Amino acid sequence: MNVLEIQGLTKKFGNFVAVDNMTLNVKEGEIFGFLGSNGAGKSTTINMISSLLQPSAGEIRILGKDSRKHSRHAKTNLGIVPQDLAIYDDMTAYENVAFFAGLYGLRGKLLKERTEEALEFVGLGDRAKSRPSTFSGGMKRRLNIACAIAHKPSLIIMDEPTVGIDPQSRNYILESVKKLNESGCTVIYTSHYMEEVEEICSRVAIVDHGKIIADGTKEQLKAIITDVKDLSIELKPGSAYSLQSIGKIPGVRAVNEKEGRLSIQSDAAVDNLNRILKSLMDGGAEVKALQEEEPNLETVFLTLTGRSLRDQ
Amino acid sequence: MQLWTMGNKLLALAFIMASAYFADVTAAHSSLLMLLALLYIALSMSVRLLGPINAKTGAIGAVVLFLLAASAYGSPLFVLLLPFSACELAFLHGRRRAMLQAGSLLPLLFLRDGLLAGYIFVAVAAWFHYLLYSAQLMKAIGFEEELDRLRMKQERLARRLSDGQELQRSSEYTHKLEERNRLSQEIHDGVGHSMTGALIQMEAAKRLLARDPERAGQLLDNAIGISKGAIEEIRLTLHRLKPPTEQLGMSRLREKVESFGMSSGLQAGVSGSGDLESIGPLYWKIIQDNVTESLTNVLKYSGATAVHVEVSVLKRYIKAVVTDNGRGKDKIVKGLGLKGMEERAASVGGTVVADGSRGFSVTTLLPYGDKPAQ
Amino acid sequence: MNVIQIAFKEMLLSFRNRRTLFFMLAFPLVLMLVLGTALANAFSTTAAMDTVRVLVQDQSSGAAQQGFAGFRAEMEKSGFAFTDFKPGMDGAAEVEKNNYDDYAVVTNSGIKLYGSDRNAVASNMTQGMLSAYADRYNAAAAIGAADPAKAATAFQPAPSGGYVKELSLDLDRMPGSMDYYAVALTVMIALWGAMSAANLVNSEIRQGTAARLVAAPVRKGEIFAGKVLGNLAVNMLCVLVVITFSKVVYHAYWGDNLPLVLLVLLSVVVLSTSLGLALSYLLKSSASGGLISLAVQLASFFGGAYFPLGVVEKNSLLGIAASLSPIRWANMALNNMIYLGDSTQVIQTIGLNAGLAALLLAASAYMMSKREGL
Repeated sequence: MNVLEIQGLTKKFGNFVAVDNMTLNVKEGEIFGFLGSNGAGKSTTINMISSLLQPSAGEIRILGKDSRKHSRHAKTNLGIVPQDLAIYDDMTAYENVAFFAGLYGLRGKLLKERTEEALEFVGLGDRAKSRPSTFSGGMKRRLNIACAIAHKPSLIIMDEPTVGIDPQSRNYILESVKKLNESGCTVIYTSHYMEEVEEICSRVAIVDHGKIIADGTKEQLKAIITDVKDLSIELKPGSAYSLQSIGKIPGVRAVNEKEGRLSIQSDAAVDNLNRILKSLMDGGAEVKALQEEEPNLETVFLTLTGRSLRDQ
Repeated sequence: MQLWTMGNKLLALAFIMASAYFADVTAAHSSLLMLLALLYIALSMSVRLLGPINAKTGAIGAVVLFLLAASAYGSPLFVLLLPFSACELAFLHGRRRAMLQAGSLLPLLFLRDGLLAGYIFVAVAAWFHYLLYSAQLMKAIGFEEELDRLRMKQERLARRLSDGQELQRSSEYTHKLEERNRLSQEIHDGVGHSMTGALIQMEAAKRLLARDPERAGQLLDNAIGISKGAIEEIRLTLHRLKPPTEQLGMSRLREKVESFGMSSGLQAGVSGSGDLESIGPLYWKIIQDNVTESLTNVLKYSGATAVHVEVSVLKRYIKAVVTDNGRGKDKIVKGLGLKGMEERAASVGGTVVADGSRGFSVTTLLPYGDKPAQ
Repeated sequence: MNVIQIAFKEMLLSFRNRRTLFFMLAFPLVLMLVLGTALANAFSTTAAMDTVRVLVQDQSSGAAQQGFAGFRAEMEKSGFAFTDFKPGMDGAAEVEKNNYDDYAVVTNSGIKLYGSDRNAVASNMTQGMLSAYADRYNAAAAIGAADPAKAATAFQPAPSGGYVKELSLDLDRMPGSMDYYAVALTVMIALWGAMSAANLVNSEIRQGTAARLVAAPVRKGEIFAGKVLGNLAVNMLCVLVVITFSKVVYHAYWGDNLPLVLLVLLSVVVLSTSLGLALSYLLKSSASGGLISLAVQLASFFGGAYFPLGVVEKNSLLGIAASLSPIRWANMALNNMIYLGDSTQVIQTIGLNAGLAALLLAASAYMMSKREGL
């Protein structure tokens, strides 16, 4: 089932077209990534989905219903983690989460339970009574997430939730996104960090100048530019191995040996690294170093747009 | 509805204030009237702000009570505002319209002569407006539905169109088959028959070689003549069938870009990478049209001194980029040219991305081969 | 329900904000104490009771002359010194040189008074006396026209002190400095609510929470209503605290009709909230904050919050500026009610404030509905 359907979505600011005739579907249970450089139109799209902006044209359907005609239905099923922090500094963590959850109609005991649950989920259970002004950047980001999940939305939209925080908090947030997803929540995740998108997203759309220029699973996207990965294996001198048996491993296309270094060309879609290594070990060879050159999403982006993700 | 009633209410209120003022000008009384009028405005406003239908009904009820009180203690003229509240109620609860209409006539029983006529006039005007508005609203809803229907129809048509394009592609394939068929027929009819004829003559010459060498030589001459004719025919057929190479592919693109460079005085270069052979004629057409369009734009707007065209075949995409070293543009406004390029690319499911951050570049991306599953 | 929740949040945030507590509570209370004690002398009732020196040029004749002579005799008993105009004197110049406090020209058709800026209190008193006399004289003249026999008795001088009684000088209560500042500063903080109201929307945008509010299943009208309500409640609470504190600790006099006083203040609070909100929508950016505090400070100054302006000429620049200040309207209305028991101005002020507020609220609601986001 499609949690989100976007059809011909367009947003113009005067003459400038920020989002250009965008069409895409997000299925239930996905972590859908929006990958694009700053100003590619990711946030504008997100803002239209969360009805902060009115589309100039096109249609947004959330759980099958038009988001403008059934705005209450759409809004209730959405959780928004805005790019900029959206919390009140003068209210405690608990009050913040409870206030926003209350706007979604939670009351009384249920409100208390869900608020505590959300705070516990982002690891702020013990800081519920503190004000965000005493928090670190990462903790504020986590509170920002807690405010969006207490009402248990079926679709959570996260707009660059890891901007400007330490690696530890970042990992924590990525883990929480995965946990949220496992608990049945569909997630839309925008980022211009290729590594994050590559790590957590099950499907990715590459956005540039307001258009989706390619979308699909990570493998599909990589396959757009090439379907070969290069393995380079350095062996201890005197190791014995059989080029032939390696050549027979599924996916392997070519094997060459030069000065104690094996270079293997293999199908990128086939996961055969383990079998290659096993075959080498069985032959009694000792591996000194291994390098795998597989195209990543950054390469895909670079190849398709001619620009790197972060150079603007 | 709200604007209509609000306008009506304001008019009526102004009338009430004016007539109250001319009737009785003591200061205390007029300030009380002013207070009542403003309170009435504030209350009516609050009706607008409230959301749920019950709250709205309640607020209108409060307005009605307020009006009754105001007409009892302030000026009887305030009763003139009652029909508007009745209309608002009717708008919220359409089904009880008749009851409300009757209800708004109730005050007639209590009114004196002068006010009676005024009240009837206001009530009739208010209900007239209400009915007119309701009718218009129904019409508007009708239009909305019509619009929805049309939208769906358009979607259906768009789908049929894309189906049609699919059909076009498959018919292209059929066309190729037919071409091949025609080719084999032609070879069979022309060259095939000639060669059979030559073969028979040569066979006969072989048998006659010992007995009648002169006759055999004649037959062989015949065979040679037939063969020569056949070879000529093959050459002709092939010549007829083969498309002129310079009309297709990289060489034609190169020629175009170079001639553009010559005529414009810009440095223009072309490069290609990947398996360029696999680009089909339909795709070449799109690439060439888009490149030509982009080059025209470069000349018109960019102020560049050099332009480069690059065609690369990736695994599942064909990418054609036209880059210049001109002034670029921060916010790109789409003109007809870009839109045309987009449409061409969209005909095979591709996109066009224009970027003005470093010089100006127009990238045409066309998916081909086995597309990634959607 | 959402409205109440948002209003409650608004109150919570305001009371957690040290700036609110300082500006709305500590500042006025301290200022009240400082100004109230420092300027105690300026308000003392004995200081103004120097002899008032009036230069009189009596050009009247007959009954008018007779009447004025009686009035003059009476007034000399209450601390006025009249000097007759001598030919060759320039009355206005004499007043300018401060030889006299006032210069009055009495004719059959009326009395002209040239007052002095130097001694506003004295001029005020003279003006009050003369207008009281003129009223009486007019009444007598009217009687004279209708029934000449009774005119004579009407022209009899009023009993001693009869003219002076018209003023508040002889009443029990005259605002002391603390009383004056209690009223003035309370009205001032009621108007200062405009500053926090200007921040209602901007602060949400600044904190990014506007995105959350709009994305939540809450209607814009509810957000609007909740915020307005919360702001009203906060400001009204501050006003209540200041009143209570000044009453209990400083023993300021608030008159006998406290509910009506509160109603006036509530109307000012409503006006200021709507004003702040409307301006913040109109000016959009954070510049609105600066502009509003400037406007509010000017209104405080011209409204007499920091020092009383006394009676100012209606058409002077200062007079126009003062008459534009809502603080002045409310101040005058409240003082009139507290000390003179005259509540007509109170009702006018409430009406005016409520009317303006309704207009401003409607305008901001309209602008909000037109905007994308909050």
